[in-house]
Amino acid sequence: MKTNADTSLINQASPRPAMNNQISSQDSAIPVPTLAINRPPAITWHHLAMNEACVSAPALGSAKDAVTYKSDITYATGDRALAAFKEACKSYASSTIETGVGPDADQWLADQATEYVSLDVPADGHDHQLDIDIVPRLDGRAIAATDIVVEPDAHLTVTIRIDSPEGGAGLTGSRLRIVALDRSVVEIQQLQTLDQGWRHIDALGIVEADNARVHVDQLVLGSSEVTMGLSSDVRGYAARCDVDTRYLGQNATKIDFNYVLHQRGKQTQCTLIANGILTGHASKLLRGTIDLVHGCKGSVGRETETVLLTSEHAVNKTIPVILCDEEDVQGDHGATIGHINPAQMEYMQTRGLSIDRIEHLFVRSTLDYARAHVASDAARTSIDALAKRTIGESLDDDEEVIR
Amino acid sequence: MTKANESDELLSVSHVSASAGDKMILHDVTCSVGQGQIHVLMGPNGAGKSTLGHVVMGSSAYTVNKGTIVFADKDITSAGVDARSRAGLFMSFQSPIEVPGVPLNSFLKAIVAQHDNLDLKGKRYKKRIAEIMQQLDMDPSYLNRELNVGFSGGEKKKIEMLQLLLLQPKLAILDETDSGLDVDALDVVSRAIAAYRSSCDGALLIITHNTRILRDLSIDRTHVMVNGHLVAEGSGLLVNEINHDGYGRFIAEAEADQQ
Amino acid sequence: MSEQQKAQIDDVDRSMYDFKKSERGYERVSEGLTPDIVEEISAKKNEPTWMRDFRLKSLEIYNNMSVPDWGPSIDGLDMDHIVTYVKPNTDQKSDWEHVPDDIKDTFERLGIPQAERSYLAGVGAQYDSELVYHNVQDSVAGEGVVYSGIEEALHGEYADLIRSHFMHLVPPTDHKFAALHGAVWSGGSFVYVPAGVTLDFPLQSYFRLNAKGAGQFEHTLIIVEDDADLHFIEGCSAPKYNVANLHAGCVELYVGKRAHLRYSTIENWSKNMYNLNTKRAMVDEGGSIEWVSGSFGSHVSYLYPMSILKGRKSSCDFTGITFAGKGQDLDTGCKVVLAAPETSTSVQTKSLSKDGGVSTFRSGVTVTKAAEHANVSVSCQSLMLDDISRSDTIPAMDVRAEHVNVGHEASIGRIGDDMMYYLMSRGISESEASTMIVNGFANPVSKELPLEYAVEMNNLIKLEMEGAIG
Repeated sequence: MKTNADTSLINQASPRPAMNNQISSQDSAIPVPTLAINRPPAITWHHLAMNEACVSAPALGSAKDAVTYKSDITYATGDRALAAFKEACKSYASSTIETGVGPDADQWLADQATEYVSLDVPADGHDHQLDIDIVPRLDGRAIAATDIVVEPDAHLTVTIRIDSPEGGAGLTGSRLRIVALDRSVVEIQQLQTLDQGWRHIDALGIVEADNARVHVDQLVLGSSEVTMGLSSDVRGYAARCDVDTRYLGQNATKIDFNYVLHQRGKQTQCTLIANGILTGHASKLLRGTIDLVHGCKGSVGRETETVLLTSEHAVNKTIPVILCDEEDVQGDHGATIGHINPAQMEYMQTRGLSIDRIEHLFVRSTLDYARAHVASDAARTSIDALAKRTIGESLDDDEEVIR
Repeated sequence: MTKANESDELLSVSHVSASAGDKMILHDVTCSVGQGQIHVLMGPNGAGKSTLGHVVMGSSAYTVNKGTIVFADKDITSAGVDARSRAGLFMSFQSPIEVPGVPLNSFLKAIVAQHDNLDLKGKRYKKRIAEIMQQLDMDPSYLNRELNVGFSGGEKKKIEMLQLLLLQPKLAILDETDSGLDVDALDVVSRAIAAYRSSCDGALLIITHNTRILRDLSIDRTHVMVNGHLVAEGSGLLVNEINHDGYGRFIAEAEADQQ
Repeated sequence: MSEQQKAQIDDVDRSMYDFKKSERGYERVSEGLTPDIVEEISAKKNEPTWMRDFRLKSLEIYNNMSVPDWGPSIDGLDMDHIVTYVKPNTDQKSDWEHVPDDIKDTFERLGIPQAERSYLAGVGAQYDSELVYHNVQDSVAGEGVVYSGIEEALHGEYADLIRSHFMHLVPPTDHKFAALHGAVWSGGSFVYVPAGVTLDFPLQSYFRLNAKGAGQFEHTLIIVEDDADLHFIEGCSAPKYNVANLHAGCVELYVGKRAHLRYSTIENWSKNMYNLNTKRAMVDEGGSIEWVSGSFGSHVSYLYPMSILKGRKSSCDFTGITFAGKGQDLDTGCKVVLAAPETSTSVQTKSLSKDGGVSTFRSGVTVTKAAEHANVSVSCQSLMLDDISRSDTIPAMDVRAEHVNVGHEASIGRIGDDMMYYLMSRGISESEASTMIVNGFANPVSKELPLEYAVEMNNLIKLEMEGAIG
């Protein structure tokens, strides 16, 4: 095992005090720094403007008490926690844990983190839980950096709720790195319901050992600018990684994904499913890469995407890449982009819905689905509030049906 | 049963000819259904029975080249599909379309909101859905599944009947396959028809010759279609005659007419 | 398939493409790329001033552009040592009998005169930098169809037409090698099909690069007027040398209203070739462009025929196959811009990788806001024939219209064990079975080719497959 791995882990994770390195954002003479982010492993023609994204990275003050952690197991914070994480994964993670956003943005998030927690999840027969709430009540930045080692045979569910009050402005972020060891089972459920004044940057890095299973379930419903990176290093034998993303782009929201599944172990299985709706002037770019690395014999990687465009101003960009450096593998991709198909449209019309209502139904359905899907009351409340704000409807059956 | 007089007439199809692409399917079809009546449309495979149903519903797959369709005293010949539904017309599909991304419950709420005849808000909606699902012996977990996606034929049939009972249309066209319906699915249709009749006394146009569905119904009129022509009309007794003797006589007559 | 054709498959061998001829007496400009060389080429051709200026401007653009950073490496291509112009010691003829023997022999061995006699309406043959033969059937010429060398057309009655179309679809600023082409282009064909004329037989241009360490930069300009119909075939090959050769041709196709153009290519460059070719079509209302593209040769390829659907209801069909064997890095695919309502596109590609070959399918489909009710279907399948090769799929889609339907599917895999087992259980040998499966995989493409080319393609596949598996 190479030792430079340790160094990179330390460098990247080190959390800094909240207000360091400040550039006054009031001073218009100093341009707001920007970050190149979400560059995929394989790029293509630059004129398509899909090879990377650029986000502004202003120095914002930390929003107080915006990040809270709750768990049934004891977690550690600060430098000691980082050292513990480094120690715990020293023997497993032989290289930098990528988080999909790229090294610069990853480092930036680590530097800007307002809270840092590390967790070592034991295998003691219990299903453990970690809830991360990133819910700023005041303007500013709220970034949670979390490192988790899931010991062999351990089970963990992580919920991440990213929400904001109506109004306000700022940046939220989540940088989560998970080392899932042999036979461990990890479920990550993420819900983002920010209001329009808020931007979100998400970086998720996963390393999977033999027979580990990680399932990522994301509901991306709010915010005006969402940047999501995800990289999974599926290196263990028969390890499995499934990513399921649902997103809703309304108004002028920009959503940018860079999801990379490196299948290195033999007999690995990965799926990437993305379902989304774009309305108004929303735009979205999904880079989805299935990387079948030499040696991953017997592996299967699948990617499916469905995008519904209900506005002539919406923009959908998709680049579903399959990289294949191995023979005995299967890589598939399927995408359907466009409007509701005519047969579906007509079926729903026979039940009395106009085209406008049908388009609206899809938006509404995404919210209904999300509401039925989440586990906590807090999450349901966040979704209800978003529905009231954006479509002016209540999702609760007990309340009046609003026309 | 009383024959419908002018004012009782709910649906009136007059001299309608319709085509799909270059192919003429319906030829000068005229028939009517009165308020609260039960009609049966029969005919050999490929006669154009389902087409007539879809033409009345306004499917864009067909072009009405001639004739008019009047429903509830309004000419709907060129009305949109959704407008026809809102006017009180319903048609069940032989193979309901799958709509990924839309949970059944979201869909039902949305369609209820579009029908002014219904007063099903909030709790009343929930109560009514629960009631119908019980009548049709449906699992409430269906509500969170996507519309028609991954359901079996029988389950899809239940979802169609659920919508029928929920919307309480003035006229329901039930388009049933001539073959391949299993016993359970037939039973669902029969139960739904009974519930529909008792809840709102709506009219029915049933496209089938399945005796099991028709057994307990008192049929007002039977229409026979051959090669896109309505060739005969009679009482409910005609159903039995056809099921006993087949379409031979009608086909022979139709061929004779065409020569 | 007839007995004769079967025999043809058995007879084929590598030497079909790999033979060299002497270059004695040929004019050769110095290696490398300078304004002097560009002026020298222009002067030799006695070109109008605008073209000379265009070349110099292109060279300037070339010098200011960087090489692509997203595709296969072209580090092995040293522009300082590429000879951009080699003129064989003959002028263009319209009778094979007047073509010098060694050149004539070359094209005889490639089957061009025979094909001309049996099924072509016209043939152009380029040897190194210049056309050596051009001929079109009288009946076709009688209908007003022009098929000539583009350089001679530059001086004739179509001079203005060429000036207003030349490198307008592919401007020198498009990319570095388009600029290079603009600077040193030489040879190539001009086709003009007047409105309403349908050619019953294809026209064919064949490009042969014999000179060692040289580049070939032919320019093909085709204008198919409204309601006209043309099938154009392009073939290319070269003997193998141990130094880099370069092909940076340019194809510009203008398809009129309700017109139809089918452009078929079988590319079989030798494996020391850098094939950096640019092809582009613009299609008017109701017109259609069909690309059939087989890429078997070259060391490195960058090849993405592009279609711009600018007229309502215009369409593009792209069928392509790429076979990357030992020492090959073939980056191929297509680009489509749907820029008008009710336009449609269907893309079907197959790629195979073997013996360490790298095959990349790369596409860019753009549906602009204007393209309401557009329809796009893309399907790409890749077959990995061993575990030392590589196959990547990099399709990009940019959809900005509301009522559209874009479907995309891709799959990468290997020959299924069950399929092999089934065939072998019926007594077929392993290598035969795999060849059979690969041919079946390629069939959707080969059936789009003219028969003679389909046979050639099957031969190529057979050659590539021989001894590959087992």
